[in-house]
Amino acid sequence: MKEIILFIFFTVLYLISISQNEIVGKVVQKSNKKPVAEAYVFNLSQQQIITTNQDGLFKTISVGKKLQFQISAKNYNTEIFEINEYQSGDTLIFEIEEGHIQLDEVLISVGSSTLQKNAIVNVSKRSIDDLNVISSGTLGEMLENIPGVSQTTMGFGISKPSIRGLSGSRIVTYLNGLRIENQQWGEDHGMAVTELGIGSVEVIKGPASLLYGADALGGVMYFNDENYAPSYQTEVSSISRFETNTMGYTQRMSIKTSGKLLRFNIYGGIRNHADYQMGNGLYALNSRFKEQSLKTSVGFTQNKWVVNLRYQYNQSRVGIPGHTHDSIVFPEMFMRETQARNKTVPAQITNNHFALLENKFYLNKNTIQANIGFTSNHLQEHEDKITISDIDLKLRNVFYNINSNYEFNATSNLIFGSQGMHQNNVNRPFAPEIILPDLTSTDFGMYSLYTKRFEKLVLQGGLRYDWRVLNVPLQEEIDTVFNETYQGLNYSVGVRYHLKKHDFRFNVSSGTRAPNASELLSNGVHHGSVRYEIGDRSLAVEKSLQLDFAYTLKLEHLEIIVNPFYTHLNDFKYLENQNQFLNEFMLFEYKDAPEATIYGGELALHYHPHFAHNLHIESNLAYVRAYIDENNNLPFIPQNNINTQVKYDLIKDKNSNNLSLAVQHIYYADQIHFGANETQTNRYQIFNFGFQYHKSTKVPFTLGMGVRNLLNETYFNHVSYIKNFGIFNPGRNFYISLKLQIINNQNK
Amino acid sequence: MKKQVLLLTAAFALSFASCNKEECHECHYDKNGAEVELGEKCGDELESLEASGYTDADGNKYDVHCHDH
Repeated sequence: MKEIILFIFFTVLYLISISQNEIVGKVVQKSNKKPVAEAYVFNLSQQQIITTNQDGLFKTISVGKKLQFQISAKNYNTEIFEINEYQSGDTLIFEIEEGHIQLDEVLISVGSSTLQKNAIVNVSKRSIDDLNVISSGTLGEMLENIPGVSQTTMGFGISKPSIRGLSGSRIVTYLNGLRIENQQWGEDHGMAVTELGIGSVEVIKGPASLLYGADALGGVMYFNDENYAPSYQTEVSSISRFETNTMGYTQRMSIKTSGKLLRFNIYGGIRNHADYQMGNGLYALNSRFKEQSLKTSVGFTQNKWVVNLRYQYNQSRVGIPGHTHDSIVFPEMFMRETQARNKTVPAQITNNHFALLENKFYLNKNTIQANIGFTSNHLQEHEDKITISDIDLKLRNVFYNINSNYEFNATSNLIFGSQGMHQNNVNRPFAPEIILPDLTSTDFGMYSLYTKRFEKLVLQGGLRYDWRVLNVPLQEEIDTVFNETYQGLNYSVGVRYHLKKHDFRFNVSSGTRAPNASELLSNGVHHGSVRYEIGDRSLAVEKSLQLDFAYTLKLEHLEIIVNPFYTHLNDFKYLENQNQFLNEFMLFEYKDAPEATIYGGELALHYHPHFAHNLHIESNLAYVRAYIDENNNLPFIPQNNINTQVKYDLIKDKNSNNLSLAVQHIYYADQIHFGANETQTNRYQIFNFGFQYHKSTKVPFTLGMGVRNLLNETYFNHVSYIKNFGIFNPGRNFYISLKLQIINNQNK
Repeated sequence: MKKQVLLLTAAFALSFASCNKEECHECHYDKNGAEVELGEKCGDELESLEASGYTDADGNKYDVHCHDH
């Protein structure tokens, strides 16, 4: 042990002692080579933002051999530059073109900072600002703007993402490099990530087990924090938002500051919503929720070492609508004529702590990434008492991910690594109800991914082995000890071919998911889902194979993406209604379906006409069909939909003042392929409208106003868990939001 | 700059602090199929009633509910 500590100490000391390379760069306009002042240069490996001076010059530090810069400036296209070799003393010249589009994106989720155009896996990356043109009340609502992504909901306060019809334990959520564990098997256990301080989200659709571990059968939601402030700058922001439907308010504040090597962010936020109003004018009883969050991060760069320490805490109290013990249920039981926000039951209280230490070491040809993280999820479900919880579970998870990205040359690299976690699930001693026993679970995985790039062709292939051991000791609720090991071997192969304006991607990937503790060992009432659930200890590992093809046509003013997919699953886990009552609740048992099939695709169009530069038209269609056999469909499969948004910039000047209007129309088709315990969901359409005004003054501000569900449609969404109780989705919702910023630039 | 930051921080801290007032609820127990109101209970008293129940003059113990179910 002593030797290991000494080895780590001297390695770190060596890395720190290596001399650093100072880089001088100049940003110029491509057409006339004139310098571009006040351009933002994002040094991606260092996560440092620098602004250019009046001569277009900037200085930064190289921590590796390969350099990646994302450069943006007012009235210029945002471009990404990759530099493989740099001689000390050279001045790098970056030429950018006049325009207002983003030419490429850098993806974090695919193993290393990779340009979207070089990625084999089809990843959808969207910034939160981009998803929020017509402001959304929840992160889940924002994510629905990504083709193929929907949100399963239980009222307004509980939502979780669904990718191509799969959600819960089949979707892995990452916050930066940290895997988030929050009893995600429960449909009433909403997403633990809040939009506080989130800058962008990357969505990998389909099995992504290779880099993210077993369980990522349906895909990965990878949230990236906002960038730090530019070097030598301090930013203070305040965001206030009010919504009429829930009389809900949100207040957030952030402070960001950056020096040459040290960067620091801190955020705080509160949110409080009363019961939401449906299209029929009534309120959904106990759909109220409130939340408070705190988030901080500190980043440091020393020569070849970039380190970030991140921490987030959030606490929420969420009402559970649609709750009853009665066998005869009618919708009026769950609706009220008056709105309320006081504490009542049943309710769910969650306390989450997420901590992550990210390290990156840039060696000669090798980049080593070492992430160590900790998550703690304390879940309390109150059934009858305001102050005493019935279910009281604490889930702690220690997580690590270590990998090496070795560049053989400019055209090929190998990522090789190991990932693991150790979970401890404990029921608090005084909790009267036990739905999951006390248990520990240990995961270990090893993976490798090789990429070879030719002029127009990129090839990629990888393998992964996973091992999970689940231990349930003898306890009051368990008659025999449960000790089981699950293993999985997965692969992924992909090819990308680029021909002028055409881009083709084809991927074959497999995934495995060990049954979770809830599926194996549940035996109790789950108040959140109003069911008595019984697990099955003999359930097998769930397996999946997906074929995914993507074609992109990228013209100067038009982009079209066609993305069909086909997924075959074996030993698919589902809850089967036993059509009987146990302890006053409907009895459901976990079962294995030998086979299941999901197919469909997304079609996206982005038109930005040359004759009207201020006009953006985006439209996308998502289609999913999922079944076990010809007589049985999978439950909670989203309705096929077409989402169209038209945005027009009324004002867009050189000082960054901007006034934009946006109209959105979402059409949801009939869901006629419904599961065994479901009913058909009828088609409906939603109109949303919003405007945003940004003024660049001494205290820059952004004012947003608008309305969601403009026509006050009374509707059910098929993936609402309270649809069967006759509770409608939210009706018309006006909102107003104001963002204020104070910026102190010590460069000036 | 310093003054503006302090002002914003103070406003934010105030909005956090304003949420932390003591919690009170109307409580009742069920006796012979009818609800018997106990009035508004707060803080420790509320917690104790929910945990231990209500004992009437005759020594009968009842489960107490402090919400509109």
